[in-house]
Amino acid sequence: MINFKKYRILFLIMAAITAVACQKNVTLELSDLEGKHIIVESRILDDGNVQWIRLTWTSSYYEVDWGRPVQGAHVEIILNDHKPFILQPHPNHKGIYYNDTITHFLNNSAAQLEIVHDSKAYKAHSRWEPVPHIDSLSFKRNPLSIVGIYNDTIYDLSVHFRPLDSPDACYLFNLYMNDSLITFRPRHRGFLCTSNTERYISSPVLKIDRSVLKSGRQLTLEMRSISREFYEFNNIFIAQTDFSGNPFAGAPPANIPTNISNGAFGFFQVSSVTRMVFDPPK
Amino acid sequence: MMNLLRFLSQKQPPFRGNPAFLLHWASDSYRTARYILTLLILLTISLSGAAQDYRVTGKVKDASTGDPLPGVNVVMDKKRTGTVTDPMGNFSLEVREGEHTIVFSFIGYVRQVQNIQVTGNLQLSISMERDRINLKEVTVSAEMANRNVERAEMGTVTLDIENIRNLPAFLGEVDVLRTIQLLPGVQSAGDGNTGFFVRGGNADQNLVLLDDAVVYNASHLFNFFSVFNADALNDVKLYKGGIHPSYGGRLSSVLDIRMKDGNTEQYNVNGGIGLISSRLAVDGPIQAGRSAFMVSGRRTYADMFLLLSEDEVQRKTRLYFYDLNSRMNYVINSRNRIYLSGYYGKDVTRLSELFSFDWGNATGSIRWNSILTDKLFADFALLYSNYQFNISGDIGPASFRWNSMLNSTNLKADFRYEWNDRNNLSFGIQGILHNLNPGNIVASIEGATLNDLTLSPSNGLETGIYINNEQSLPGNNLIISYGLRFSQYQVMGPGNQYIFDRRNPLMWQVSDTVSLAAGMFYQSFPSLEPRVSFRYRFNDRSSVKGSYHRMTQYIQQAQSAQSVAPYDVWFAASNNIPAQTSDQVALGYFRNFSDNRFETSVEVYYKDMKNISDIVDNGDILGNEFLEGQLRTGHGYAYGIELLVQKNRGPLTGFVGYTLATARRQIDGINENKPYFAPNDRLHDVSLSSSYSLSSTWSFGVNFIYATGTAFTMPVGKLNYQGSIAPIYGERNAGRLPDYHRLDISFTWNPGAGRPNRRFSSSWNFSFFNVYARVNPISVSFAEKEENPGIPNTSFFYIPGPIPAITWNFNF
Repeated sequence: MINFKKYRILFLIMAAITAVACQKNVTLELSDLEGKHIIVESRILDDGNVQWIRLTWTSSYYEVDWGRPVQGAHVEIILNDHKPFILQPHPNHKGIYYNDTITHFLNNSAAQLEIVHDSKAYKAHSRWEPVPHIDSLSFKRNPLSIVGIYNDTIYDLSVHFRPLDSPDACYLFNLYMNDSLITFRPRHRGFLCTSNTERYISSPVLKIDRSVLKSGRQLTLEMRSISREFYEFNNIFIAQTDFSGNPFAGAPPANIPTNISNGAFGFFQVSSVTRMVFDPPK
Repeated sequence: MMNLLRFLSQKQPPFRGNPAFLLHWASDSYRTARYILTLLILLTISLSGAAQDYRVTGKVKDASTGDPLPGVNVVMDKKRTGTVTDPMGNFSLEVREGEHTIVFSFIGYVRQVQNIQVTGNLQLSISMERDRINLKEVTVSAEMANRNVERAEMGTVTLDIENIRNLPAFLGEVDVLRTIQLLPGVQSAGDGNTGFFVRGGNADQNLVLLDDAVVYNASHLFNFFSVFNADALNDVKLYKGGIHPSYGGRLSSVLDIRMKDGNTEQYNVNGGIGLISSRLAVDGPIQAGRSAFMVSGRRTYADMFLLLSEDEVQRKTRLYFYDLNSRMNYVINSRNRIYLSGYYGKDVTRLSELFSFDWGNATGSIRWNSILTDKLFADFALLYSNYQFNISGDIGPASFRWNSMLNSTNLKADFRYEWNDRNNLSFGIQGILHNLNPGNIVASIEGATLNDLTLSPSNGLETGIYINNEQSLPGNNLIISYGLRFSQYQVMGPGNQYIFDRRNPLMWQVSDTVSLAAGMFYQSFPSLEPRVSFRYRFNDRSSVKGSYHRMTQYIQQAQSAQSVAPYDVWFAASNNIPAQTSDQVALGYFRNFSDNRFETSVEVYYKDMKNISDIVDNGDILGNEFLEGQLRTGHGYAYGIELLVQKNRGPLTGFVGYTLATARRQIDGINENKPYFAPNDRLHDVSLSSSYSLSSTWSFGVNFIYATGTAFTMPVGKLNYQGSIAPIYGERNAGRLPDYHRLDISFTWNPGAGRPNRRFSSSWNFSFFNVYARVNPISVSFAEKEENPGIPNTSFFYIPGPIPAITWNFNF
């Protein structure tokens, strides 16, 4: 159920301990990518909230920016081969295109994204998969925290649920504190794929620092259904951002795969979502 | 010979269809091989001269240790007729009746002259004394003075273990693989790394043999040290080109390492105490003059200091390796000798009770060396190799165990037939049974969240038969060596074969699985491997040589790191991964100066590799049951020029090597099908290794290396995604890390050098690795920092310098 490659970190830890290697920050002379490319982020959930797509440009490697917005694009999503929903540019947040009228979704239905900018069209497909009901949550001190690899205040949040009747179902987990998302980067999120429909799932999905678990706070675990491709996208993205260039990091560096056509980066994913609100444990 | 000819005249292959026998042929390939072998035999017969009257045979050994001496030059009557002792120290010469003079010479030993009266066949036993005066010479070829000019072989280097001891050693550990990395045509896999690449090949394309048994992972401590304990070694030989047909199974090189035999006359103890390890070796007679043993062991002990820690986790942490070498020989009679040898080594890493990772090699060999007739020498061997690793993690519900193992059992027979003084025929046969079991990854506790994962085993039978003749033409100026090896790999059950849907070139999906029944043979991969070389001697000081060889490799390693990581698994040729082949041509000019004080050579080569594999973009090979789907195969090539200048005698000895070379790959499905640089491509590679005797008790050693920076895949931009950044990469291996250069020095103080009669002697070695603290990147990272998300970050992994080391060595 948990992909084995997630435990590559253990090899890296051991290798780092073994090797007397040091790290030194440097600046290299790098070539630049020809032209700029669009990066796509999506938040298309079946929770009745506003749906949005964020479009930004790629940049030179050493250029410090947070993603220059793509303006003037035409963005639409077509649900179940019906009438397209046009996403409007957000008046206050450049690069964000939104729509608050997409409200009805069907499990296993498809969504198609179409972006046109400067006469160049980009397309992607995604599919809503169902998400199971979360039965309960539990906390346990992280084993790596116990032996001092991590900060000694790290806890594992485990989720318990009965898997759906699907041979290959993947999920993304987010944590909200008082309705604010605190797992906003991919490396902070949890990912899980299940392939065994017989076995009840009890699995750690998120690492939480004890400082988050203060009494009086309201915490919410969000579970989204995602495709296997998006699961791989996130795994590779995390590997790139965490282990890139490590001498024991595995395959040669390569670009993160995408499901968007015509040279764009990022990923288009639509998800079903379920949430469970809980109080920090005492 | 008659048996061989009878075998060649058979119309049907022997044992056909019987899987119990090691010889198992594909009929077409068999017929072709038989035809070519017959031609070779006939050619040999047609070119052979008239038989001589009598034969002088014998064995040459080290007088002090009793070890056989391979490669000793045996010259008769100043006529330039002669031979060289084989790996067991044996030689055979044809002579006419009458008085003759035979000269035995070998660098590092006192030249010996024998006057003999020949009235019939004669057997000699030669004991050569070490030359104490020249013992400290640093040479890469401890053999006859102008051997590099005289011998037909090229691309071959022999290392003298005694001389390596005087060179700077990383953390004080004398390591033959580090010395090999200094040679032209050989590149290091990275700073502080014992992995090596030969002439543009991958690290797994080197056949590493310890007493003929394959060592599958020759490294300790994540490649920082090799598994070869110098105390146990007698002879190290690297073949980069012109590889003899008795060797097969790897594309790029053969590293043939022999252990010491043990002294048949007296007991010796030697060892050393260093900063990170200690070692001890004992050898001596079991039965004086008839049998001897050698046992050598070492262990690192850095982790023992952790026991002093107050932190419980640190106290329970383990990080060490040990290895044990042993060898025994027994002289049955003047014509037969038996050798037993074994190696066992293990690395142990434990992170408290949370995580453990152990790995190690074991090899064993039984060899029977026999002089069947005065002309025919035989060597029969049964060899066993094992490599395994065990990983376990007790990580709550994700606890797991992973046990992986690789075994090979090799049965072989090699023969050398001294036809006459112009033809030296060798032939042999071998069969290797491979059992590759990458292992099962199993959840180690009840209710685990990790699914059990079965990595399909792979079994196969690799067979080989070869014949070669080294022929000296009249005048002895031209020597040609021509031979052929026929090899074949047959896939055996049990196991699985996977059928992939390849419509998406970047992501193959398994579409079907075929189960292979245990004990049954399936797909065959036959290969004919011609090997040809020549030497034309202009005079005593210069010659030109050329060679061509084809090599075939049936098992290879999926490498998840820059070099070889302990958890990389080996896999065999299959329906998805064909056998790899390489064709290499080389041409060299060899010239000695100042009475062979200076040896120079220049060699050019071109190597073409087919079905070479690489990992597809974002491939995941760690614990992947469908590993083959993560690899793509294609074409590779390498070419270059190698220069070597070495000084063999005098207070200052050593060598300077320079390589100008390139290595590239073109594999469909990788780098948009465009050619790209191999990870080991280095345009320039210069190395200097030298020793200088400051006095009778002090010597100074130095290594200097300069090489073009390693190829790496360079970011050409970045994408900012949900608050994190990831590089956008350009073409594979299109960038270059900064150039590599490093200076190491050492001082050796041998206070007892002036008193040779003392039984106990000791020396101190002081080494400094990377004296001027050059930052040589092992790799470059573009991973953003946790504390600075979204901010571009580039960093080098490197070994800091200088690293001092001190080692006390003793001998009594």
